[in-house]
Amino acid sequence: MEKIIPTQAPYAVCPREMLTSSILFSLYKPSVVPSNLPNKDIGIVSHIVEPVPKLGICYKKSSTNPNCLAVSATHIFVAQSDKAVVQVYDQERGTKEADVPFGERITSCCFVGFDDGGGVGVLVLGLKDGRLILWEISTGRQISTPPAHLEDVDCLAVDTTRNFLLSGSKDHNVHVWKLAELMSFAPESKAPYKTFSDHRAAITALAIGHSYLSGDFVLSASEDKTVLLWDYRNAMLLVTFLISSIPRCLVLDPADRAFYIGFEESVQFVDLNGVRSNATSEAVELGEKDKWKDEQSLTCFAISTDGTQLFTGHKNGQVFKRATPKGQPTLLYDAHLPVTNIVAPELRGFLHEQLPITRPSIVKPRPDMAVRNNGSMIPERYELNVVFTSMFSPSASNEDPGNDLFSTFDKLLEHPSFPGELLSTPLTDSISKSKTVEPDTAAAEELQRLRLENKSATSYINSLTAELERLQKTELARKQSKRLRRLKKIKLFEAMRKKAMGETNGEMDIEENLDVEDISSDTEDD
Amino acid sequence: MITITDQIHALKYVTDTLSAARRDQLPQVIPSLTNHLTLCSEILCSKAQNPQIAASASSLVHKLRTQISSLLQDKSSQGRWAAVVLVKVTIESLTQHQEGWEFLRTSTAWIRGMLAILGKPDPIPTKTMTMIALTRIFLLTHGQPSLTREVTTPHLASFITVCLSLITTKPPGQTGGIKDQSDAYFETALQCLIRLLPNHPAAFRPFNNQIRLLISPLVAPTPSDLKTSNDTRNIALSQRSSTLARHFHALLPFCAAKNGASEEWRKYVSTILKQIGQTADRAFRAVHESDANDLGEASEEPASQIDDDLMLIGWHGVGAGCERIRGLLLLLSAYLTTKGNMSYQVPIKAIYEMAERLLSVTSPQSPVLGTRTEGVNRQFTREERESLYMMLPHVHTAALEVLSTMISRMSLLSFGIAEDLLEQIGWMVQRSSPTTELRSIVYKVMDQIAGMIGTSITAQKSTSISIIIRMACKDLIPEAKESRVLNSNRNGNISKPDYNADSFTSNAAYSLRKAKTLQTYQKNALLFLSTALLRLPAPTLSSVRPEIDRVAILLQHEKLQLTSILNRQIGSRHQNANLIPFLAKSHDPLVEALIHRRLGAVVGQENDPDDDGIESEMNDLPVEPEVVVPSFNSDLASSFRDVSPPKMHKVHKPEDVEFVNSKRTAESIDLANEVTQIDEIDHINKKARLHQETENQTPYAEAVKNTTMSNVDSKPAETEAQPNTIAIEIDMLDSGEANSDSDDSFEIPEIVVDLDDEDSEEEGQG
Repeated sequence: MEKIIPTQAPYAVCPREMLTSSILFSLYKPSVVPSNLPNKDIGIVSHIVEPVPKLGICYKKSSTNPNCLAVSATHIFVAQSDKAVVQVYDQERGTKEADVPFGERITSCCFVGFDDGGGVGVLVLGLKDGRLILWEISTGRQISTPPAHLEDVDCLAVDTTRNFLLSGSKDHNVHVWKLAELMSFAPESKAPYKTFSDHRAAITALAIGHSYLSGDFVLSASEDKTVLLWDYRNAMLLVTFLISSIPRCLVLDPADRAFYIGFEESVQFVDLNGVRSNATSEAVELGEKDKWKDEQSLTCFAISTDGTQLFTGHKNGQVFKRATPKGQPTLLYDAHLPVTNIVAPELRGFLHEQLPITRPSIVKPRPDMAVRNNGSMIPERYELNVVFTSMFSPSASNEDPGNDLFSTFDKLLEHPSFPGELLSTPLTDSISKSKTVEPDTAAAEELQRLRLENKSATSYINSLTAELERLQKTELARKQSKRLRRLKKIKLFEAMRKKAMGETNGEMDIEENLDVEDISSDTEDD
Repeated sequence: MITITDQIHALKYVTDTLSAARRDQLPQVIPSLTNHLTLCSEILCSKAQNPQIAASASSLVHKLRTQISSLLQDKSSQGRWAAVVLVKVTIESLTQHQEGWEFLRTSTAWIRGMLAILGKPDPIPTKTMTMIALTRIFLLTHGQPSLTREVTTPHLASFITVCLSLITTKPPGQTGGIKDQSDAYFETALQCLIRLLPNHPAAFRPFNNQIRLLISPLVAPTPSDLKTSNDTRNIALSQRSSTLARHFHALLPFCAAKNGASEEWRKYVSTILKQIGQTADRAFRAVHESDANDLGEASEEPASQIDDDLMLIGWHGVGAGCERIRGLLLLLSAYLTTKGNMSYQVPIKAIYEMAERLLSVTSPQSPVLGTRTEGVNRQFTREERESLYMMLPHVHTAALEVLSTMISRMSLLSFGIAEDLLEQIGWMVQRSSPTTELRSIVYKVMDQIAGMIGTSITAQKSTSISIIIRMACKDLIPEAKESRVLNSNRNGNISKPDYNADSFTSNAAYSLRKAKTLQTYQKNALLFLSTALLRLPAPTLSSVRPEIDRVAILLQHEKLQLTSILNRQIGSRHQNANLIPFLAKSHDPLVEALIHRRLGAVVGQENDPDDDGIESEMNDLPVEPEVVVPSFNSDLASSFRDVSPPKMHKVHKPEDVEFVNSKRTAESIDLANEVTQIDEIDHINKKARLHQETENQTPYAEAVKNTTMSNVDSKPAETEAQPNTIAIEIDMLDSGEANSDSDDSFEIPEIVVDLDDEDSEEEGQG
């Protein structure tokens, strides 16, 4: 048997029956850590927020810079601040699975995978030298782009369709990539699809909309004290928001209704419903409106799935929870080390949560994946390493009834008794058949005896029937002769009467007739 | 919930009836007894609180259990049948409660009794039900180690043995001339074993070879092979049995010894792939496709080679060869659909290249490209080639089935092969005349691809998708030629004498066509169209847009209409050929959200009535804004739209819309003017009225709608042409159709004309 890997409960500590919301944050560990700090080993913290706030799994020995935490349905990826290594943690087991070295310091990372893909996907890494690396975590294939950026790639974002990848850099540019082109096996050069260069300083944050139609947009924050709202499919600026200080982070409401800008000392709420602009590209001065101050210097934040809570991480290690848009903060956790990233993963514990069909196994980047065989498009040992967590029936073709086949029988198995059509299948026909199938020896003897008995009885009955027939015949003969005699008598009397009345012509005839009838009655009796 | 007292009454009724009924009466009383018994779930696992009730309940439960136990040993087959049903019902009602699990522990006697029944010459229904009941018990104990140890483990081996013996064909003579019933048990037994194997691979290990021998003839049957003396069973021809056998085959690697399951699975996948390759070498030898030298004598039929790791029987003839390939492909697909807690290594490259190879072999006769002679291997007979071409769609279907499964497993990682596959399928479809079965799977795979990479697909690469979209449209509106009746009506004369009298009664033909429910391939086609319409960039769709819209209208398919509206090209000529009026009739809440959108602000934020007023509501209608601004599909969109309210008013001024002079129109104009001033609450009512007007299909309502929806001041010419908004739409469509390559697109204007006629009639009446 293979080692059993639990396929459910991505968070082992969460009760599965309840809808659970949690956050995940990572810490930066300075080279010198005061020795009296509690839990100084902790690097990543999983914290449950709903239904009851409590500490989840803590992962040790990790230190991260901002934008260097990526979460998939099954794993956590953290690019380390001090070395060119990505640490991979298994969320179910709560353990470290791998240390994956890369050639260059990693300045940002982001996981790209479909929601129903169960954590199978690509880890995108932004490097210090302006390149991007895409690592297919369950095949080991590694795709590297040319250094399209001139400086560090500081932030990455991917749209809802997982088709467009955005990378923001210190070189003031945001590149838009087509993921399918990046991942294609065709030997084309990997180049950005569009470049957005309206910012005049380093990009600090990206927040992408949640629509999969062509109207989707992205917000980009820059050190030039602007937040730009633009259409990434056409790299076209739509709205400029002028802000008062340098933005650190951005987060967009889950329904794209508003966004939040995080500054060093405050958070600003911007309602997108309220934004009116008559001309495109016209700047909106946000000023100090809807800003709420923070005593602690803010480093990162995340918004809950329902958009009602904002989680803020601070330099002194505190994590606050506050109701949107401008609620009072409540302390959730104090890590005593700078909080660099907060992520709010998807909610868990829906009633009919569909299991993803696969679960990835981590395959470290393999050099042989880069080498192509002569003419062949896909590298020789390109294999998908996954656990098949659920069975699915792919048959949509008309002929193959596989889909019904299994679900029908499952219904049969789970039926409270047996379905009516099965209960009403007649037993009788097969019973008579089955009796002849394997006759009991005792029964057979009995049967033999009965048959013999039957035989004798039959012969007896036969004799009796013959007897009865004979008796019936004699009886009939007796009755008939009686009747005849009576008839003769009547005729005789009639003749006598006629004689007496003087009809004398037929006496001889009567005598003759009587004789004839006598003979015929005799023959009948025989 | 049923009270405890009622449950006791029900249980008492059950036990009394059971003791009173004669054996031959059992089949008639059992169905009603089971209904009563399902109500008694609580007292069956002794949940009663009151001690007095509990006592009476437990005595009744005890009585029932004794009755079931004695019925299991009963001499009559009716008695045993009744016992099996009662066991299943009892077990099922127990599982509803936590305490019920303990009951399972004491059910070992029942399990033994049922296993004995399987060995007896009982009727088929009894045995089938016994297998199901036993499987259910075994499955229920899964995940509870002590229960599994006590209940399942001791009996599983004998259950497997008896199941296998039931489905093993007995050679005639051995059974004493009794009809072999193994086929009757085949499906049930396989279903049961398929479910038990993943939980208890170790128990199945000793039976591995026996099972393999038993199911391998069914895995890839070759019914059209007449040469081989097929002693395969009748069920070999049944698709269901074959599917089950394949799934069972795919589970067998689990039985491998410690930690060997992964390698075993891989080994079998490689074997299947190798086998497919070899079979294809032989079966496809009539076309220049492979470089293999050893292809057999040209005078002989292609046949299998001897070495066979899968224990399959040999095959002769192209037909059988293709059937074998198909079977093997479906087996491969089954290997990819199983589940198991082990790491699978899916050889993507090998599978993809194999499928690519099979898809590249196409018939030289194609409706699109005409007859070609490329790739023909003249060494072999023409007949062989032709029978190969005939079988190809079956092979392609199975190959796409495998790819579809693989794509699902690969999820995002299939981005790497998606574009290539897209072109491959487009190529294949163009070069063959696909059967419905093949089209069905083509739509499915294309649906997957469009859903994944559709958004970023470029115009150059969308040709394949366009071809398949056209195919899907044709599938959904079959026999486009029937439209000639409509056509002739319109022209006022019948263009061509038609001797089929029925064709004149166009209504009958039409209703007949409409009454049909959608077939699977048509459903798949619809799914694919919706996905393509939603995901593909609007410019890549422009050439097929009229056809899709036609399907959406004729089928009255709301989802398709909705997606068509959501994804329109900005500034295109088709911009005004809008489906919103069609959709507005629907009562779908989604439509309501689209046309009368109201997105709430973030909680806690006070709404500014000026900001969230009516103009924004009106502007939100998802028709394209000005060319310079991309269309936003959220409330946000309205914020960036270059439509200033005063200009809106202008359009609605009476002098601009003089063409309508009815009273109703005046009302509507008032409404349109008011619309800009009313506050939040009133607005909803007004909106409803406006909507009503729209539903009435008055030309004015149309006009109002169109003015509000289209970008008015950017196109003054159109605004002036208000009286004939619908006519404009027709013009737009007409001009669009002129550009379109398809032969069928001419129908669209006709449909719109019909609508126009209706409207003008209404207008006349008004």
